[in-house]
Amino acid sequence: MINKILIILILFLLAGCAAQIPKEAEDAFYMNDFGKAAKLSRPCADKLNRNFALNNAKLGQFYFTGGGYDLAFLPFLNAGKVMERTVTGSDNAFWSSVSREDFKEFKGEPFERSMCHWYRGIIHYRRGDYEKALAAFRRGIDADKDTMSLNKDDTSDFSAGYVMAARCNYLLGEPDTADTYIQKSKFVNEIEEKIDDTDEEEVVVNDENNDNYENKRNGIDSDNTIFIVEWGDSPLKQRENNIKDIWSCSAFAEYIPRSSKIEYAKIFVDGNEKIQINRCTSTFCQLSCNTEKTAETIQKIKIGAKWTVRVCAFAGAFTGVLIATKGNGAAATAAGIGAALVAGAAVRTEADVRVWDLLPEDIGVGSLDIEPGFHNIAVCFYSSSNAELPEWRQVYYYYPIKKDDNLIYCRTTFDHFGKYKFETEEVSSSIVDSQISSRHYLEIDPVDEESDIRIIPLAPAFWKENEVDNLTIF
Amino acid sequence: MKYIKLFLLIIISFLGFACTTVVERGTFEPYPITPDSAPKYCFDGSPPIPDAKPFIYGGCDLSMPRDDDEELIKAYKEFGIVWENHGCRGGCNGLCENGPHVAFGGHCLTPPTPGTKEYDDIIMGIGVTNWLYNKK
Repeated sequence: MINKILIILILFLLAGCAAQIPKEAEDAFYMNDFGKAAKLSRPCADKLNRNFALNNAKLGQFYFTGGGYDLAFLPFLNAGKVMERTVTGSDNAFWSSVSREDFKEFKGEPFERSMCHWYRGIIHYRRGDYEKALAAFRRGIDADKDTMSLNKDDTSDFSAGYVMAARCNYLLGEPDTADTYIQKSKFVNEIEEKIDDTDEEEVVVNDENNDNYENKRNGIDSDNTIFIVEWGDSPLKQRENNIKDIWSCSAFAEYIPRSSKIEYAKIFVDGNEKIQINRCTSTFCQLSCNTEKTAETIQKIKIGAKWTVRVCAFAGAFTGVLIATKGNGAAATAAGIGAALVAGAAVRTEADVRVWDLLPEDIGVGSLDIEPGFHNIAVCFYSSSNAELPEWRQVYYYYPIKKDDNLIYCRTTFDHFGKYKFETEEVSSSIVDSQISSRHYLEIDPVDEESDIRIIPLAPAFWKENEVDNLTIF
Repeated sequence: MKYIKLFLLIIISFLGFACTTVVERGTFEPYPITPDSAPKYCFDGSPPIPDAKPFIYGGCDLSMPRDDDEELIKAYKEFGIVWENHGCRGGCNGLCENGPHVAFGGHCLTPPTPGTKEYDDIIMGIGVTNWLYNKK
């Protein structure tokens, strides 16, 4: 009997030990060391466990952001297949229904599925395979169809997907379908003004009901270069009110936004400002969906079921031990209570907080017609007060622009002032210095009087359990 | 007792401010939006540098060897260098198992992807060391 209980407990523990991508790999990603990130996460992503889709999605993103587009394709395909599956063999449905939600196979939220298809679409697009790219973008749109922001039954608000689907349709010679996508996208409403040298090419679209699609295309149909700019970090997910106590009812998860200061980007070609790129899709906004209330109801029912199972386990264990010991004495009662507590604790209600947290906060899409040849392209980022955020500037020197079609992808990965500002001083310094020396920043004078960032320990820990607070002053 | 603790807390907080070590981080000087020098290295798909010698011979040409250039192919292969369709499937930007790029001390000669740090750094010669030539 004891052996059986032990086996069950060991199986229970094993079910909770499916590895995820190590934190070192994610840190390497934020420091633009994509080779290290991929190397560290590859063994983990190869394992068939309940985190297979999440691990492969992250591995794909390491390759993708590092420019290894062909290497990124297979992990994204693997992740997408699992996310789209309706029935799975390794789904720990029983354990996830009586215990932690994350015992089941990770399949992602709609926005995570959309992004998986989105990256696969970009890879196909870069290869020049517009049909497959279109299929991937459409799947990305379909994966997000329950969003509520547009308040239409069959409409997704994954507007970046619409724009790229439209672009593929234009390139495939299907302008009518493309125009429908353009109409659906919020792209034209958000990018109202296209900055250019000549007034003739300036396009201003304000009228949503204007049926003249040519005005709404905004160059997506005719320009030879598409810019996809991603910035910020997607929301984190944590148990509601960050409850970690196993006895607490923390079945709900909440998303914590990680808003960056970036509001929009501008593209410079050979030193000249050409186009402004605004937010086209926001991963945080993507989280809102029509099925939210339904999901909440289901979750409440599941919590009720879990508490019922928990009480039954509690009572069953107590009774079982009493029967086994024939109810003799206080020791038997104590053993019964102990067994009941163990059984009750085993039935947990923890929410699933796994999330593809390496995604960007915002995606912007823009287009531009650039003369074929080598050009110096810069992507500069701006705050809501229209001040440039130079720490994010990305430059691409001697970028080869082809005559027909180009796709320039840009992602700000390292968040100097957000992600690492609460780290210890030494870690922060080394990370920032390493980043600065390796990525698009020139001289750093550590004793420069005009230094604008300081970490000041505000007050030493008065009570031992309190950490020293750090405050970053810009 | 309660007030004494509060008083002590205020005093210690005050001392904490006074004894703070300020960590200077330096100003951020972003890269200029146009380069301040001409390309220093070239490869397939980058601006060509006239009369550039192959990297393995101490030059600045990191192009993949042509199929008819047997001598150059042999020279690279002696060092276990791979490139597109010659031990590497391509499109890896030095992230394959043979990476990083030869320019950064790895064994992959596949040209870097435009729009990446590797592309920029190789063209501008940032962090590039000719370990192949030095080894010879």
